[in-house]
Amino acid sequence: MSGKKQKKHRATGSASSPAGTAMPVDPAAFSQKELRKLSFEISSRWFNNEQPAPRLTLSVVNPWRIHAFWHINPDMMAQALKTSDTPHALVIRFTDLTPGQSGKTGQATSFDIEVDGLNNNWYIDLWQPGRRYVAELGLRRADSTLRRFVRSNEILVPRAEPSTALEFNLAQYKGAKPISRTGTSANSSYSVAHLARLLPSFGGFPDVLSDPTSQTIEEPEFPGAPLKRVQNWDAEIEPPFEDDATPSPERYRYGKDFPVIQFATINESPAYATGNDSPIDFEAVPELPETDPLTIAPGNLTFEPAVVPEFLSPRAASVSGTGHKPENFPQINIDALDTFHREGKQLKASLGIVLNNDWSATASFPGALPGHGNKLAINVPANSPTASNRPMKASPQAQAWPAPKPVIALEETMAESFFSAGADNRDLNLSVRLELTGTAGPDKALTLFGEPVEIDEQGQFYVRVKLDKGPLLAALLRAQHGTNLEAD
Amino acid sequence: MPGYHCIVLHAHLPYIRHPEYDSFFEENWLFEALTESYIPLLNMLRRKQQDGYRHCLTLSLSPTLLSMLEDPFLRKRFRKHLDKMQLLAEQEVKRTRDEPRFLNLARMYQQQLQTVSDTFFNELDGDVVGAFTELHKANVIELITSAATHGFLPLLKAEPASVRAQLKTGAQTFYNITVLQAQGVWLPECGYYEGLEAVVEDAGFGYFFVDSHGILNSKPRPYYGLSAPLLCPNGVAVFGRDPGSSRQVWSRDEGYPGDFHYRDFYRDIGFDLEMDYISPFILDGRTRIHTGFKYYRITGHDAEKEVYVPERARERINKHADDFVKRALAQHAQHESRDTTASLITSPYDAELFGHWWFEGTDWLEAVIERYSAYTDSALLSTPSVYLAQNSMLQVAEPSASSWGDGGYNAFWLNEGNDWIYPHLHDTSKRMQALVELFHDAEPGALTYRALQQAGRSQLLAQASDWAFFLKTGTAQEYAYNRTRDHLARFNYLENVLRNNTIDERRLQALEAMDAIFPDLVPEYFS
Repeated sequence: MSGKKQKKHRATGSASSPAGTAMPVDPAAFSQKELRKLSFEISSRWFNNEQPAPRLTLSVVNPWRIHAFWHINPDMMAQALKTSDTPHALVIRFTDLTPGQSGKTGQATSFDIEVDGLNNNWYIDLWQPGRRYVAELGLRRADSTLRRFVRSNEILVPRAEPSTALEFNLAQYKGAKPISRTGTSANSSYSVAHLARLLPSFGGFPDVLSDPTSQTIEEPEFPGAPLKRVQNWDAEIEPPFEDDATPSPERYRYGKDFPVIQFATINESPAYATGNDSPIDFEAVPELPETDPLTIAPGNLTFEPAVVPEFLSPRAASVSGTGHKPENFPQINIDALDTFHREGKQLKASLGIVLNNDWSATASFPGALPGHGNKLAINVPANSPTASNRPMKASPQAQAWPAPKPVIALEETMAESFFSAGADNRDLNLSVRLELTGTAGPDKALTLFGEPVEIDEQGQFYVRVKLDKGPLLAALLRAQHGTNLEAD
Repeated sequence: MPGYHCIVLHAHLPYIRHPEYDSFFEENWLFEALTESYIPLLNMLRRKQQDGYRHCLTLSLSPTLLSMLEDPFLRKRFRKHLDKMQLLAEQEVKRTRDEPRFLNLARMYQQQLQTVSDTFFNELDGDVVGAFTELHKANVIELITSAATHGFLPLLKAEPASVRAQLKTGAQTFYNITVLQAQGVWLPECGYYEGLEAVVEDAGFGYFFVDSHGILNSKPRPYYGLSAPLLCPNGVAVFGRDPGSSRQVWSRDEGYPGDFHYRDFYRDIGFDLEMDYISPFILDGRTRIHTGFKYYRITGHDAEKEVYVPERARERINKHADDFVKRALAQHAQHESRDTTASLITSPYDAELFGHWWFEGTDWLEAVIERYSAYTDSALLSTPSVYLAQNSMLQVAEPSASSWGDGGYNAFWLNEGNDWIYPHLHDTSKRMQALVELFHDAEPGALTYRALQQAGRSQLLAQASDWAFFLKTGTAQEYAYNRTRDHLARFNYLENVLRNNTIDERRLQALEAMDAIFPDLVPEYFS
């Protein structure tokens, strides 16, 4: 969430369940098929939160190691870079807030660790147990001042040995604070027992002795291929992010195999020479040094839409449609998670592209930043009737619409990007998956790669495809009012 | 002054319930635990009640387990499971009729299944929780509980609302089901961080447990070491795990369960017998799984397995119970000169160890309880509340952050195999807080309120420490991944329909029916 305050409203409920009623109309029992379909649909469409709030979070691993993950939006970085002429580095600045451990200036001591990635996580080894830290993620300028993006939670690294303090003070155990019963489910139709009555009738096992393999599971209908079990992705359906038979969560984590940091730039370090049980002035909590927060509101980076010549060829991932009105497409999402390998290390990048209702295109991609070679081309067909009217928010090096922008292979994008996979690297393996969701008229037809895309009763569609290796083409849906034109 | 010994069994299973399938492998975990651990334990304790024993042990029932035990849908499935197992027992008695050693064991399993069926369905009408509650009221045991879905609290700490929701929902769930207030709480995985006691107190708990180093590294240093609880500065008591008695039961090398005469867990007819015979009783008729029918003893390292002989195992049970009590007495003897705070040993274990993993474990527990009665002058079994009532003056100190996981801290639940979970968990927590604020005036029972509650359930279910555990160990890894993903996706979906005022009642009710837990969930706990 971006912290925007939304207008308060309350759902008024359906006709069968007006707001405020505690006794909704009993629906019919659910079939297993219906439950499986719903479960699969929600899991497929809603797993990724497209716009996580910017944050830096520290967690303790053990007395000597902590974990940090962070997420900042590309436009935060873009804004910061735009206003800075001096060399800079993305750093996490740790400040030691251990009581009594301030430096000569009275301020807390701090140290920086240079990091990379807008969306990443590192394990960081520290020097000493029993210390209290807070951290800030930001751009460090040449004069060591920090343009802060986010500030972390405060952590206390555990003690790792017995304390030297030997006070023996006794007090009396008073017992637990009384609590009372809450909720109204005991008299409500929404008790677990009530819900259980809505569940599918259960066939049980009587038939297993005659023919245990005869029990079939009905398949929910989804584009592409039948589903056999939720927990086992069918080979014909793209697994969550990879085409392995068994999805491995390790592939999807943030920044796997990033190095554990052993060294850091220390700005002021009197604390590190002190022992764990050195006399501590508990009143003297160090003052957190001032940093310069980035004041822009987080949001999406708006890229310049551009025509990609290859897009006009039939090779690109494409969707064709008939008779869709733009207003029937409130949003089309193309979302890809890429895993690529380099020298045995595995990194992960995520790509999200959104074509908004007003035909502006937005994207976030940790490998492509303004000022660092905006290699990500977002394509909208040149002959779109509303193209010339699209609102433009030009990024620093964007070209004016509708001038064509050459497609650049993702390998180069990554190599020259802020993510810095390595400038000399040309040996990346890339797997790109596109997820398309949207709304069309229920009586309309869509095809993808020549295959029909199913549109449900509400006019919604969802399909997932794997792209071939090659230039990154983000081919967006093309829709024209009142025509039967096929886009490719 | 006699020493006290608190044996604490923590019973927990993640919330697993899949009405969208006729049967689901992971649901068997509950059925196996009921058959092999919970009901045998219950029957053993009721026997001890009849014999006049009191304060035998402390039993922690996690809120997810409580909810599953109370669930009519799962009770119905347990009936089917038990029917199937009893059918297998019948077949096994026929199959082994010409092999007396195996036949005796088949009949033993048949009898055990019959006892479980009689207890659960005929005697209790499925109300296992009610039976344990009666034991609590009769002072045979002390019942406590845990965090709502067993979230590993040190790694949820970055969003304090998550910790609050876990503990307060856990306390309320226990209260609403048992109509008892749990005096203590089992912190999931004994995961403690400095300052957690404030949330523990606020949720209505008076004490909790930590691993040994949580006490030994406390500040100031504990005067009595592990042999007495500490009092946190806010007045909440904390008990430390005794390493010696833990090792005797847990250790693969030194522990009692590894005795060569005890039953082998891994040798099971689900893997041994021909597919044509066993297929009706295994997963989907094709995938071999444990059935519970195990005919061999551990025998030895790399030795060919020999047939299990219950009488020989019985001898070992007695020997090991003697040894356990004898060691405890010796430990108490080191503190016999104390005249204020009584000596204490706290021995926590997973409840499922007894009966399920360690087949003879419940019998061993019974033998320990009986043996302790012979030494009431020098030592007695007790529970934390009884100890605290009689030893209320405690040293004040701040425990140290710790867990009982490998390495003693958080690494088992935060590593390269599972760290991708946490950005999602923290993000959903933050967004749940915003939802609660946005819909603070929603009326209980209204569609909005129900969607808000369901979003809270999804968040809590995604936070279960079990998923991170399985992802780390590789056990049920794919299932853990899918469960995490499902609950996060359900949360995201519910947030979207709440914010856009597009709640579809049937979809909401389907989610309620699939994740039918915490019916009284209080959204304010998440703010």
